[in-house]
Amino acid sequence: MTKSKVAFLFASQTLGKQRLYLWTFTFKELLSVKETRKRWNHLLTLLIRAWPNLQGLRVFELHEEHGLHVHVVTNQFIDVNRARELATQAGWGRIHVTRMPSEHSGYLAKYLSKERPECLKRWRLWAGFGNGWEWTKVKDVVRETLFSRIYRACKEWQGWSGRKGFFERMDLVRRMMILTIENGWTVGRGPGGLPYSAGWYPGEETD
Amino acid sequence: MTRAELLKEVLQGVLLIVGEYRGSHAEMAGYVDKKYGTAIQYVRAIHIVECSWHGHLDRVIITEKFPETFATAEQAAATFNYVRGRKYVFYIEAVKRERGQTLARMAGWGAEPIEGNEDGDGTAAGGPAPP
Repeated sequence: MTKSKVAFLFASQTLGKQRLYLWTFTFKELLSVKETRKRWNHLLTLLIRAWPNLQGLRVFELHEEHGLHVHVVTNQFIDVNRARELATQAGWGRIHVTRMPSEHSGYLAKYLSKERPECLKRWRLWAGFGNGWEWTKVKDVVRETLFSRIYRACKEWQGWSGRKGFFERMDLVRRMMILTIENGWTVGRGPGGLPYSAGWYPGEETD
Repeated sequence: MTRAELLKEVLQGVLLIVGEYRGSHAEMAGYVDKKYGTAIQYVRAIHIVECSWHGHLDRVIITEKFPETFATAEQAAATFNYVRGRKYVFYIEAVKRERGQTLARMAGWGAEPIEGNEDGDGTAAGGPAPP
């Protein structure tokens, strides 16, 4: 699971404390992803202008046959006919809306599990919108795994700061993780439970 | 699993990794939301397997995710009945190579020992280990 997907799940949990509606916006014709994004920004501006308290999360889905779709979870019921008018104004086609039980709030995360298409590289696949709430962002997510614990021990040992030599760090942490598992060491410690800084280095170990 | 059964699986195109088991670690992994303090946790295991990759020996990191019925890492660890040094067939649902490291995800079928390779060092029936 990527951190982005986890951040989305947390954000949807926060939004899920309210009554939720699931919207899908599509087009009649097949549009380029750039054009779709432009039209989504237009539509969102119109929606927020019409319903200033509207809060929600949107997810882009590149459909195999029908181009880019936008799925949206919102916290309040908005007049569908009015929303259709605004969607038409922004150049959108079909709109579908349904009530969503709050326990299903993470449903849209399934679209974040798909492999990211090349044309959506560096795109925000999901985003929150609306005033009065703060959705969880990737930077707010802390990962707690064997790897992250060993990374923290290595960071202390090596005095890492900044992002210099990122890939070399990853290689070292991975080697330490393999050694930890193979030799049954305490997590974040070297042979005999000694700290990494005790003068032992990976590569000297023989098995 | 016998060698004949293994060959059959390979010829059927089943995605699997054959390697010498080196160790496992079960853990409660997860994510914490710094903003709201909520957490998502799950139990998973990491298995280290030694196998041949492009002519040299390499460690493969295989992760195994457990269903929600597993509430602790200890419960997951209790399911490990692997013998270190023995060869196993690991059924895989995904594999990738990242900066010289092979990473794989174990499929629901799990792993099975290969009969005739009990000692894992290649001296068992079947001939010596490859150089």
